[in-house]
Order: sequence, then structure tokens, then C-alpha cells
Amino acid sequence: MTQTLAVVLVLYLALVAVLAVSVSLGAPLTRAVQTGVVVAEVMLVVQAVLDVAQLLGGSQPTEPAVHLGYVVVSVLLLPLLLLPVELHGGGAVRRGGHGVVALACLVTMVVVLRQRSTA
Amino acid sequence: MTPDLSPTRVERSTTARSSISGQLLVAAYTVLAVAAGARAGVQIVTRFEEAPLPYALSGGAAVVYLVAAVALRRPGRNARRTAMTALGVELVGVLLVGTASVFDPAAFPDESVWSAYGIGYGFAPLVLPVVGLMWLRGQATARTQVSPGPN
Repeated sequence: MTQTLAVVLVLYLALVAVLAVSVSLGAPLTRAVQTGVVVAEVMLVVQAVLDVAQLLGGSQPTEPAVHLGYVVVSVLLLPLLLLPVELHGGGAVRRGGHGVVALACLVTMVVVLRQRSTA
Repeated sequence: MTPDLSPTRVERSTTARSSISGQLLVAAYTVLAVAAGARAGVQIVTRFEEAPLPYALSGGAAVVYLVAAVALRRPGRNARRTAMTALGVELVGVLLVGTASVFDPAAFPDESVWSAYGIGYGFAPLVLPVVGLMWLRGQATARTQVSPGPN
């Protein structure tokens, strides 16, 4: 279950990153990116809850502390990076903001993959 | 129409939020702060006695990245000075620790964030402070050119 969700999450984050890059290049898709980020965060929280449930149910990762670290970071990364960002400003503010969204999605993809590899 | 050159307006225009490179720089330092902080936290809590020096250095690096991320995000002269200090400390740290880890590997039984010039993080710890200091210098130069001189 969590394995499938992780694959879906990685593909979904890649899609949101592509959308964010297209907005920073001028495409009028700001609303789609915002919705995409919120849905991604919800999926990350669901994945974290399932992961913690598996740990409580007796699942034994090779390095539990490292795995738990990735679980926590996967949930916190998008809010930490994106809450201070303005997506509706003009010019450089909007382009830079969506550049940060793309970067945040790519980094979160790596964290999700590391989270699965340490499970 | 005369451009608004009031100090507040000029100060606002030189914050990280006003430029693409500034926003990406803040995001990159936030990522490094989280990555180094989480890694150092786990290492210090679970196996500090195995390699105290590298793990303590990683913890220190995480603090430097956090200070840099916050200072780069804030407007004002003090924030700029703090950011320059943090980036300078990072650059000196990565050069010193990187060189020490290459020439005295026995002192580093496990990698720190700055080992081998930050190779574990794609050399970002070496490249980012240089880019950041250049960006801060560019902002300071732009600010000097825009600000009206004393009468």
C-alpha cells in the first residue's frame, strides 16, 4: 500500500514540478500549481500516517531513527519551503516563487524515495 | 514620473523575495538546513560516540544554514550582515573541514556535511556560499547605486 502510494507521490510531485516550471516560464497555471501542492501535502501526510501505523504494528526498518527522520522531513518540507513564498506577485516574485515550488517538489521526491529505501 | 527612492522602498526591493535568484537561494539554504539538521540530529542522538567530531560539525553546519536561510529572507542591513557572516563561516568551514577530511581521514570515521568539500550534498556546501556572497554583493551594489547620496 505505502509502496504504491510512494510511486504515485513521486510521479505526482514530478508533474507539479513541471507545472511550476511552466508557470515560471509564463503559463497561466498558478491555481493548478497551488491545488497540486495542497493535494501533494495531503498525500504526504497520509503516507506518513500509514508509515507510522506500520511501525507501531511491528514493522522493523533497518535504521528506525533514520527512517522516522525521513518520514518527518517528508511532511515538513513543502510547508517550510513554500509558506513564505508568494505565488501571486508580479514578474520576478511569481517566477521565483514557482521556481521554489519546482525545487521543493524535486527535493520532496528524493526524500520520499529515501524514505522507501530505508523502510 | 519620479521613481520612489525612499529608503524603505529601496530596502524592500533588495530583499530575497524580490528576485528569482534570491528566492531560490533562500530555498536552497532551507533545504540544506533541514537535510543537515535531520541528519545531524539522528546521528547525535543514536551514535554520537562513534564519530563525535563529524557529527558535531554537521550539527554546527545545520545551525549555520538555518541562520543563513533566515537572514537572507529578512530585509535590512543587520540581516544582510548576519547573512554575510553565516555564508563566510560556511565557506571557511567547508574549506577547512574539507581539506582536513582529505588529508586526515582518521579524524573523520564518518562523513560530516562538509567532508570532502560537501561531496555528499553534490558540493552544494562549497558552491552555495560563493553564489550567496556574490548575490549579496550584487544587491549591496544595486542599493548603493539607487540610494540618493547625502546632501
